[in-house]
Amino acid sequence: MDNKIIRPVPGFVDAQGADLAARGAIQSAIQRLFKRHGYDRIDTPILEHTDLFLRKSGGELASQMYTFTDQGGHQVSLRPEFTASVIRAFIQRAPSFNLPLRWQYAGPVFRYEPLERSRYRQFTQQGVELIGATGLEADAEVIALACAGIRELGLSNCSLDIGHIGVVLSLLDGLNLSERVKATLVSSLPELSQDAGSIAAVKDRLVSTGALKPASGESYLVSLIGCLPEQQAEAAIEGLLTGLRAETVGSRQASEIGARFLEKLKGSDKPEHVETAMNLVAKLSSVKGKPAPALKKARAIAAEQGIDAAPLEQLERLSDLLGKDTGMQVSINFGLARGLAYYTGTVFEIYRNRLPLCGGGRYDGLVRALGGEQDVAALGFAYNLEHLKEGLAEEGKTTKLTEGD
Amino acid sequence: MDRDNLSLAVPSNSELHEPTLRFFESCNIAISRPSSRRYTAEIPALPGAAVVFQRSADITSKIDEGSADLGVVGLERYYESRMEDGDTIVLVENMGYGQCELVIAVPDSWIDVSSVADLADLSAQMREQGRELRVCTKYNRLVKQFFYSKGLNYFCLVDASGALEAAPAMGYADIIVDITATGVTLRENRLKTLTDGVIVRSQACLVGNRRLLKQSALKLDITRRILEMIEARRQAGGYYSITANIRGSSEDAVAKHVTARPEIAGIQGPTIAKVFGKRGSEGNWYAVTLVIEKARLIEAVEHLRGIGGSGITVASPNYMFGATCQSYQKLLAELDKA
Repeated sequence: MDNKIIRPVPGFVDAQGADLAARGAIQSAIQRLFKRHGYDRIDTPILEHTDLFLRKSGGELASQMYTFTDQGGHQVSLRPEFTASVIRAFIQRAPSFNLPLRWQYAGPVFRYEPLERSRYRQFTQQGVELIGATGLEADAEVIALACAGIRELGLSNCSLDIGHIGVVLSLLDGLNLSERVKATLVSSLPELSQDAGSIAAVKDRLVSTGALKPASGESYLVSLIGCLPEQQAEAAIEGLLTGLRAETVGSRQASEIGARFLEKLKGSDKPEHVETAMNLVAKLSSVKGKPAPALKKARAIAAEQGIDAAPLEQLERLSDLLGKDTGMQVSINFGLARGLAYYTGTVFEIYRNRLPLCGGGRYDGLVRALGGEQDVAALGFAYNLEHLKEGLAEEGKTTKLTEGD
Repeated sequence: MDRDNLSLAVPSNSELHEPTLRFFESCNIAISRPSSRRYTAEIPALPGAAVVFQRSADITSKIDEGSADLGVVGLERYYESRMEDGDTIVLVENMGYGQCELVIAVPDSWIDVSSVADLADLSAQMREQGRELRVCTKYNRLVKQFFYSKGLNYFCLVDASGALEAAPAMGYADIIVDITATGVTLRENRLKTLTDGVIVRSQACLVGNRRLLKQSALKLDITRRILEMIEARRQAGGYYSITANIRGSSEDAVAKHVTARPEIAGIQGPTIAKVFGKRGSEGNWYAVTLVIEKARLIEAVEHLRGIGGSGITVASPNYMFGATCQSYQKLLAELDKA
């Protein structure tokens, strides 16, 4: 037989020597810092039910997961992140905890990404979850902790971007859009903040996924049914199905098909609404810069559109609370979306020369979405350990960190 | 394993089996199989090439792992089975037969579903109701990639047992993804395709292992000869060779008339030869031979008649060789990169 060398799976690497030592040193330094701030360690399984991650994290993550059916017939996935697992662990024993609860974790996560986009399909996340804490002080605590970790490692030239999903959501709420269009727009925030050409690109995507119907002549029959009152329309469709002699094969009943058909006729988004929404979102998401001027611009947009300015007040107070302690350049960035659908409020990221070092935010709806009995406010963030290591290596600071070993 | 021969894997079972044998025969590199029970064969015109018959689903992985050097597969099979970082590359992507499409098909009673976006919506809605959209297919990877790229994230794949088309009617799947050439089977099973539900347009293609081809000059040379013949055969399929007799004062005068329409005056230009007239024929006659694109046949005939042509004969060339074999040049460039 061909005795070919077996290499690691693409996107996975071995670590040893100084490289491994650096990773270990970073991890212990951060772990000690978290501990000093009152965060206890938790470890969760690498393998979870796929459903845990699909429930609220949003579609994009689903497409990146390593998912398979085990021999017992369970559909399982390698974790693509920690938050869902930590919240699951919390919900399971929720009554036994005193809130707020501070947990820290570290370990490998797995995401199948095109190799052009990321060299690693396994990377290490180290982060915290602060569960049961409302109020801006909690936001400030978590962001300050993220900054403290960067300082602890001695990384310089970092910048902190803060955004607020609530601002964008309340802007969209006033526009009568379907959930689908809303979700697409929120996930397109980073793109929409780029330039005017991106509006066309996002619009194309909306059309290609069918969220936005291109203006087209629907048949007379179809538009007629769309205008009928509910009961008549249902009867008409049932008649139509019989007339077409389309036997209903499979799991869907005629009534169900008819109801969705009707919904589709009546419920599609008006192209002009979507257009307005896109322009507004593009305008808002391009607001980025030093807190004072950025917030001033955002306020002007909020006033113009008559949207709730409360999240803006929060952001202002948050940046006051953080003050100058962050040790890095702070920007407000409404184009920040973080790619996960569960965020509801503040979101933030720390970069070094465009390399994202950490990210997180507030996700007040996640506990209930994962089966918790009541809403529990929560927020957290995670570092990408490999990126921290890369940044330190560039600054020549890894050796200093591992000297004690 | 030590193999000096170039090993060519050919489908043993699928719709591609017979057409592949016919195609190689038409390329003058006929596969000679001593008996239909033997799973190896030879190509007498290519000493050093050994044919192995394999299940079409296995061919790509056989080439990836190196137990065959070249193989004939449906493009959709190749996309489904290839390794993302593997050594298998496509040498000829359109062999001109085995055309089919990998399509999504839903029950035709689903009047509310006409596009992939509808399906994505439906899957999200079913998920809210605690159900999952069940997809029956033999193309797990392609289905996942396509669905995810279209924002259809909530579905589960169901193993195909027997005829896929029956799965929705029998109730073990909601929809299917399968190949179809004509759509007849789908329609007979009360299934319809979606407006944008074609995942891959496929036909027979030739794939090969670039690592193995790079290692052996002999294998590369046999591959070159296979590519030469396939390309010449495919090229020839687009052209006719026309010969007409035209009366004129000289070769140059005839040439001037013919080339007045450069687009139907042959690839380089016409070949003109004097015809030695039989007794009783008047004037100078010339035979004009042109190679033209098939679609321009009538145009060319009318043009030749217009300048006095008669006795026009049309023949199909078997092979047409250009100055170089493009698919071989492409392969060499690919091997340079590897």
